[in-house]
Amino acid sequence: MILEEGNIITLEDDLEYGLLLEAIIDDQSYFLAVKLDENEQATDVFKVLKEIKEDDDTLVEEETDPLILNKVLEQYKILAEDEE
Amino acid sequence: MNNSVIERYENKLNELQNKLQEVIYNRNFSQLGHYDLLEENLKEEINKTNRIITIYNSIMSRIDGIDTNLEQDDIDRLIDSINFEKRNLPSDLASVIDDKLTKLKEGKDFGSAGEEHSYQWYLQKREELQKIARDSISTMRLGMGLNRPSEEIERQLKEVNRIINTYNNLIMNIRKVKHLKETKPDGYEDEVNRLNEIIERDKKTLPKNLLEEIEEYFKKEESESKKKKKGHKVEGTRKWNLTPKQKKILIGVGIAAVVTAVIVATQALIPAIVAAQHASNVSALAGSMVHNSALWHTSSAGVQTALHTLNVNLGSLMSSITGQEALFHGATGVWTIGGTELSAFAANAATAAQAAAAKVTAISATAKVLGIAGLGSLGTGIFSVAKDKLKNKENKTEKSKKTEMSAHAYEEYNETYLRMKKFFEEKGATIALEDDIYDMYDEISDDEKLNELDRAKLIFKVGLLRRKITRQLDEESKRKQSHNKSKADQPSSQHTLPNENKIYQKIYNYLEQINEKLDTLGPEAVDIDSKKLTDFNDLILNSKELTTEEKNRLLAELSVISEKMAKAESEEPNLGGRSK
Repeated sequence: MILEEGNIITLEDDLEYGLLLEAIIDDQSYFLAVKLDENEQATDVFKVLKEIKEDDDTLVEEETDPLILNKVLEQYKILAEDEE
Repeated sequence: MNNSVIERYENKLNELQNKLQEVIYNRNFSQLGHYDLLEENLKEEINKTNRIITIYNSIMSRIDGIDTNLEQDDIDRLIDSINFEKRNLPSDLASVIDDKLTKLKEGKDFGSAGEEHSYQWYLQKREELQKIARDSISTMRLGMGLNRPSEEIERQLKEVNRIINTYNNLIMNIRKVKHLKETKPDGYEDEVNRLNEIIERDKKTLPKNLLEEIEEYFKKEESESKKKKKGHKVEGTRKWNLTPKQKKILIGVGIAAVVTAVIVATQALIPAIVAAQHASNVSALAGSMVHNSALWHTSSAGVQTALHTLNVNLGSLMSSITGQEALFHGATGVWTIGGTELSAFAANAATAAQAAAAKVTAISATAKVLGIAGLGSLGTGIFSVAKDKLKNKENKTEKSKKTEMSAHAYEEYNETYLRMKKFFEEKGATIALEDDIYDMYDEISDDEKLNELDRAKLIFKVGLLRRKITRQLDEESKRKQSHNKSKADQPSSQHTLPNENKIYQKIYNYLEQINEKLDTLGPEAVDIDSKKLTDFNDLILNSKELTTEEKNRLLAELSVISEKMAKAESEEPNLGGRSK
C-alpha cells in the first residue's frame, strides 16, 4: 500500500487522516496529516505521520522529535508555495 | 519396590540357571535317570522366567518410549496392546505395569511427592543421570551376559527425557496454534483443534509448575513483541476530495500547528539561552497567530474553529513566555498581547527577536531549531545553508544581477515542474513523465544561471516528485507481475476477467463527455449530482477490472468534474467530505 498526499488513510481503530503534504528525509516519508471526523470533515488535530513499512503492512507513527519536525517543516514550507 | 519385584524374577532366573548347571554336571557323572527329568523341568522353568522377564522389560520400554505427540487414539491403542500382553505376566509384575501407566497419565512419575522442579533442573538432572549411566556400565554386575546401568537409573533417565520432550513439544505446539490463528491458512481450524487436543493431553502429564513456566514464557514473549510493535496499521486508503483552496487553507493551519509543537517540544529540551529563545519563540508564535487570523476570514465554520483553537493555544503559550496576557476580543475579533494589537506586537517581536539572536554567540544545534521569525523559517537545513552562502558572495550590483537571472531561471523551471506535478496528480505516473523529470533534475543540477538557494529549492521539489513517480511506477510494475503470475498459475478452464482496457475506455469516454458538456453547456446539461459522483468514485476504487494507473486516471477526470460542478454552484468550501 502506498501512502500519497491527497489521500485519506483509515487506521486499525477506524480513525481517519487526510494527508496534505509529503516530505522525505533520508528516504523516509513524513506526511502532514489532519484528523477527520466521521463526515470526512477536518478537525483541529494536525500531526506529522511517519510512514513505516513492516513486512507487507504499512504503519504510521506520529513524529514528535523537534529536530526532525524542523527539517520536515522546511520542506512543507517549500511545497506549500506551490499551493498558492 | 518396582525394581525389587523384577529383581526377584531375575534372581530366580540366576538360581535356576545355576541349578541347571549343577544338574548337567551331575548327570554326566551319574547313571541315575532322574537328572534328565530335573534338567527338563529346570529348562522349562528357565524359559518361563526368561519369557516373563523379557515381556516385562519389553512392556516397560514401550511405556517409556510412548511419544506424547501421538494422537490420543494411537496412544490408547498402544496401551491396549500393552494391557493385552500384560495378561501373560504374574499379577505382581502386572501391578507394577498398571502403576506405571497410571503415573504416566497423571504425570506424577518423576520426583518425590510435593516436590516441584524447574525445566532447568530437569536439564541438569538429565546430564547427571547420563553421566551415571556411562560410569555404571563398567561397574554393573553381569546378568544374563549383558552390561547395563541399574534399572532405576534407566527409568529415571527415561522419565526425565519424557518430561523434557513433552515440555518442548508443548511450547512448539502452542506456538504453532498461535501462528495458525494469525495466518489463517486454508483448513487451519481442523489443525488447530488437533493441536489443541494434543496440548491438553500433554498438559496433564507435566507437573503444574512446568505448566506455569510455559505460561510465563509466552507472556514474556508477547510483551516483548508488543514493545517492538510501533505505529498504527493503515487498513485502507482512498482519494480525498479537496479543492485546491481547501487544501491551501488546511496546509497553512497544519504547518502553524506543527510549528507550535516544535516550539513546545524544543522548549522542553533547552533550559538555557532564555532571552534569545523567548524572543524568537514570541516572534514565531506571533507570526503564526497573525497568519491564522488572516486565514480566518476566508475560511468555513469548521476551519474557523480550528484556527481559533490554534490561536488560543498559541496565545496561552505566548502568555507563559512573555508574562503578558493574550486576549481575544470576541466583539472585534482582535487579539491583543499585553494590550498591544496582535499585528503590531508581531512586528515588534520580529525586530526584538532578530536583535536578540544577533547577540547570542554560542547557540546549540537544538537552539537553532527555534529560528528567528515567521512561519516555518527555522534556521537550519539546506535552505539556510544556501542562504548563508548567498549572503557571503560578491558585491551588491553583481549580486542583484545574478539574483535576477536566477529568479528568472527558477520561474521557468518551476512552471515546468508545476505542470509535471499537475499531470502526475491527474493522470498518474508514466514512463515518459519519469524520463522528463530525470532530465529536468540533471539540467537543474548543471544550470549555472541558478544561485545556490534557488537550485537547492528546485532540486528538492523535483527530486521529491521524481521519487513519487518512480515509486508509483515500481508499485504498478510489481502489481502487474504478481497479477500475470497468478493468471499463469490458473487452470485454463477457469473463468477469466473481462477485458480491462474496454471497461476503462468506456468509463473514460463517458467522463470525458461529461467534462466537455460542463465546459460548453454548463451543469444544467449534465444529469449528474454530487451523490452520483461519490457513487462513481466508489465504483472506480472498488473495481477489480481496472489497474491502479487506470483508476488514478479515471479519478483524476472525476475530480476535475467535481471541481467544475462545485465552481458552478459557487458554494462556500466544505472541507472535503461526502455530499449529502
